[in-house]
Amino acid sequence: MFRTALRNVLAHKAKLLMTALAVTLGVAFVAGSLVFSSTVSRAYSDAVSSDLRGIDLAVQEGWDDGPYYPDQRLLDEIAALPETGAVFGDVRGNAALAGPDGERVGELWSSTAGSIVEGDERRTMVEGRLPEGEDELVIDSRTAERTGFTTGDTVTWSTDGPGRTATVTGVFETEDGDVAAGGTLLLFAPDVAQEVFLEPGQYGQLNVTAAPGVSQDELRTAVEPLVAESLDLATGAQLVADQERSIASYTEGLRTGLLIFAGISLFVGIFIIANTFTMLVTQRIRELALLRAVGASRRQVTRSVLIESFVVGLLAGAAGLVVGIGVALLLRATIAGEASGLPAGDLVIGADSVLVSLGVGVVITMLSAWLPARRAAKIPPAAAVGAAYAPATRRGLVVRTTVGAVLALLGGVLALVKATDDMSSNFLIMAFGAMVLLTGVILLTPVLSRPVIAAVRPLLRPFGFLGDLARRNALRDSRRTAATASALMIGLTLITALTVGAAGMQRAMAEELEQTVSADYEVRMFSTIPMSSDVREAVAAAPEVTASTGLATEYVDFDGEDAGAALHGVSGENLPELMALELVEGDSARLGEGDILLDERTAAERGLGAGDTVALRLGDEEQVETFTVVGVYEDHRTLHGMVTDVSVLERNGISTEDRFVWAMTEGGVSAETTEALRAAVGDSPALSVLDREAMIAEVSAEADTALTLVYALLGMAVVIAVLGVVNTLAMSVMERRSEIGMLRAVGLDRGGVARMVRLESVVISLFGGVLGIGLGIFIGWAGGLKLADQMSTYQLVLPYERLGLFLLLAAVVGVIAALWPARRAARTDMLSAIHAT
Amino acid sequence: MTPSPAATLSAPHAVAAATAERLTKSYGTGETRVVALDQVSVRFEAGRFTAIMGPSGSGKSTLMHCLAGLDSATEGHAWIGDTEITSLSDKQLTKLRRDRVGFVFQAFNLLPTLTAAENITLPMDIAGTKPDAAWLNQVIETVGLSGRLKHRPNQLSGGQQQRVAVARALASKPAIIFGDEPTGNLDSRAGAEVLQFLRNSVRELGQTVVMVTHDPMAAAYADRVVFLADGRVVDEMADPTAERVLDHMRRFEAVGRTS
Repeated sequence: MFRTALRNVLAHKAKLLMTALAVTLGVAFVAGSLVFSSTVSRAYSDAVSSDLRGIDLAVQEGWDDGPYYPDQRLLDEIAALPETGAVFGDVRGNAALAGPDGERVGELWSSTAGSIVEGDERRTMVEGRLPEGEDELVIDSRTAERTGFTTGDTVTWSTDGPGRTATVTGVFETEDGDVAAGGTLLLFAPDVAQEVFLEPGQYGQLNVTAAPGVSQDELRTAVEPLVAESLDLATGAQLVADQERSIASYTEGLRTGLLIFAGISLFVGIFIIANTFTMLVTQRIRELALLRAVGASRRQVTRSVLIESFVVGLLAGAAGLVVGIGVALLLRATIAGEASGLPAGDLVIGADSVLVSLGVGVVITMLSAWLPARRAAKIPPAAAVGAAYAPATRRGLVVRTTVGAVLALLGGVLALVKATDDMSSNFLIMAFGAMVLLTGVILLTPVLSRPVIAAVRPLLRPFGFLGDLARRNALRDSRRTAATASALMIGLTLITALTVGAAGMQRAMAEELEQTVSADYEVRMFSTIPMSSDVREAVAAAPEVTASTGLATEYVDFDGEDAGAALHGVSGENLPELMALELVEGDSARLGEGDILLDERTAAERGLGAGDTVALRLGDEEQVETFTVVGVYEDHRTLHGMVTDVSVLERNGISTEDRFVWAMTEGGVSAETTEALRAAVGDSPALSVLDREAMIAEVSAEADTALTLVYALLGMAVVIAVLGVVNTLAMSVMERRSEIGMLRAVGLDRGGVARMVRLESVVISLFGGVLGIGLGIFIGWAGGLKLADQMSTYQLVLPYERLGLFLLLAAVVGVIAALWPARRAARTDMLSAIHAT
Repeated sequence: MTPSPAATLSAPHAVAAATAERLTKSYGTGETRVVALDQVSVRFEAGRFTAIMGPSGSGKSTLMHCLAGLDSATEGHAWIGDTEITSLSDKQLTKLRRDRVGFVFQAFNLLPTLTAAENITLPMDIAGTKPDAAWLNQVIETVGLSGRLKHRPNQLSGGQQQRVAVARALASKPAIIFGDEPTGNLDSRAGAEVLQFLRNSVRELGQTVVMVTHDPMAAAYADRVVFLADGRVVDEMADPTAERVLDHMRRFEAVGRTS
């Protein structure tokens, strides 16, 4: 049986080619994801371990009712121990550097800073000298190369506040992980770094090297008695292990993300594989029946088909592995590096990647071939001698349609219900419902093919009679057309759902911003990381600014109980000009000393209204402040909870870092004012100064970036679906050879034949496209209903241009997929086609 | 309108629907060269029903294919009416087949996705022209398909399918209809029906039909039989009957054996 199966693979290699390609692409995606994530992981580990090289013991910051840092005294004590070779104090923090164009170099999260002293093995000065005063720093060599800065240049840098200037006194080389990942590292003299990031005399970490002959554990034993309990101790080996763990968990996330999309591609591939094997079995009914007639058992027939699929799966899996390694190389070349902050290193091809790739290839192929194989076994031996045998039964379609309808209905309902108040579990139920719905629709596609294809009929009218022929050909084998279209539908459903969801979300966020913030300008750090209070002071002091406020948020408890709420500290005097608060109680949002505003939700929860007093515990002191409620406002995008003047927070010793600073300016938004505000915050490379338009653009930009990435990843599923269309067309053209010959004889020219095949391809693709886009809109809408509960401004937005583009994409997929089959059909040898009966 | 085999073949004759002049078709070169047609010169008069007969390998199908513009000749000339087709491009040939030639094949004559009526008008639909309604009705009437126009091929018997094919060949009023073993797949009764229609189309509608067959019974429906052997026209017979054709066939099979 094995030999028969092998022969079959060889005999049908052309027909199996598309199947193999589909498996290959799916496996390539899996293999590429695995290899790429191990490569990134290894590159990180290498970078980190070389950075940790030479550290035998680290004394790290701990917690004792607040952060607790090692200090100079401890450093001196450790240095005095006989077991100690050397000890360096390290200060670490985030600081951004402005490039020659004034823009930040690299991403904010990998823009780091620290301290440097003589003899630190991790940083080797290659140029200039160590920094000394507060306006001196050294930069890493990669950053120097990128920016062109050299010793003697004046640069602008900042932490979370206004920009400052400093002179570059030198350049060092380092294998620091963040730098390897495309970040920047600015190093200062220890006292300067302490001043900026900690308190004088404090260190973030003490790095100790052992004296010759002293082990890490011996060093630890010696140092331990000197160190306060609140601090953490870790040997070099532990540090490496900790780092590896955190890298592993990060790359795990990367890998899972990529594998989800690889899984979608494989799922799409299943349809193509199952379709091919079904067609092969149908074409070979006589052959298989003959096997049965000469004594092969059902089991043997099933097995022969399965062995065939095993061989195809294994070969395609192996090819997929090779292509996947190529994909990983490509990913490394395009994604990793300075732009994204992923380090690049040698490719890591682990045994697990190899085994998983081959395994996935074989399992997916055999799984998809299982049903066709069973169908093959049911062929009666009588079919060999020409007895009529209809493999696809009507009853089968009835069962399929019933199950599909039930699933689609169930999924649709699940996607729409709101089971709980918890939004994330609602979304989970919705996602599950969407999956059930998708499965149901996949089962329904054969029945849907007729009405949907009838619906696209007007599009075919310009092609006249050929369009009509193509449409009827597409409807001939509804299961085959359905499976082919389903493959395309899956990708388009996801793409459309995400697009519709994102469009509504972007609109809602922009709308909300429009409704809730009336300021001309917003100053913020990347995302919503808080900024130093210097920023709001600098903005307030700018001559162009007429009114400004920061937004510092603290979570406080109501007196007498642990229930808490957010308390926002703003400029009480400027609040009405800058924020659009809709008061439902009270007359004015202007806040004086001891005044507080509540949002409707908090007011309702606490049973409070204008005129009431409320006592809150602020800060660590357990100090209770009593406020007078002067108003209640409609729930607000940013100011959820309570709002008071920032001075109360300051008075209670609460750090008042602002997530946003808003400003109204003389004469409103203009390029000059933007420049002036940038200058007011010292051209800080860490801060963004956004006018109203930019605020809205910012809201959209993040969603757009995410969407683009998702498009790229789902693109693979569409590519595989194209292979499915190619496959189906090639098979159909082969089966209809005689018919094509006859058409040629009665006067259809080669171009006409090609056009007919192309149109059929477009019909099938549009069928998949219409279903996918329709389903995607439904899922996007269902998701939007959930969002609307959270965002009052949410409403369904159908980005018609994009959706039209997707439909066009489906048609283009059809044209591309038909390139080869149409050429083949046009070249059909008329005479032999007519005579082949 | 009397057939005159002695007429000169150097130019297409006004009454000839199809003409072959020293038509040669060979495959391969050198020692492996196989000659399917060897300098065949023959004329098919308009308004007549001609059968081409011969043993398998005699070149009868090849002759028909070359005359119908389905295949190209190696040497010589062929005309449909006064159009020399041996010099036409594939595109021109396709157009010629569409507009001026009708076909009835042994099998796969019809498109399964089209109804009988749609199959009949297929060549006109491909050309994008309107069929002549009166003529179409007459054709459908003649082949006796009026009640079955909405049926699809799989709902028709073999004989009915072949009648649809005949109707399709007639519908566009072609200069000539070629039949390639049109009754090969039919039982004798259905075959007789189809042949009767072909003959009626010649007698009543004035069509020209050239049919390749190996069946003497089928050939007996024709006005004239042309015999081929080894790629050459070896004989012909006017107003054939099945017995005479059979006799004839036996005779030159015997000649073939002794030579």
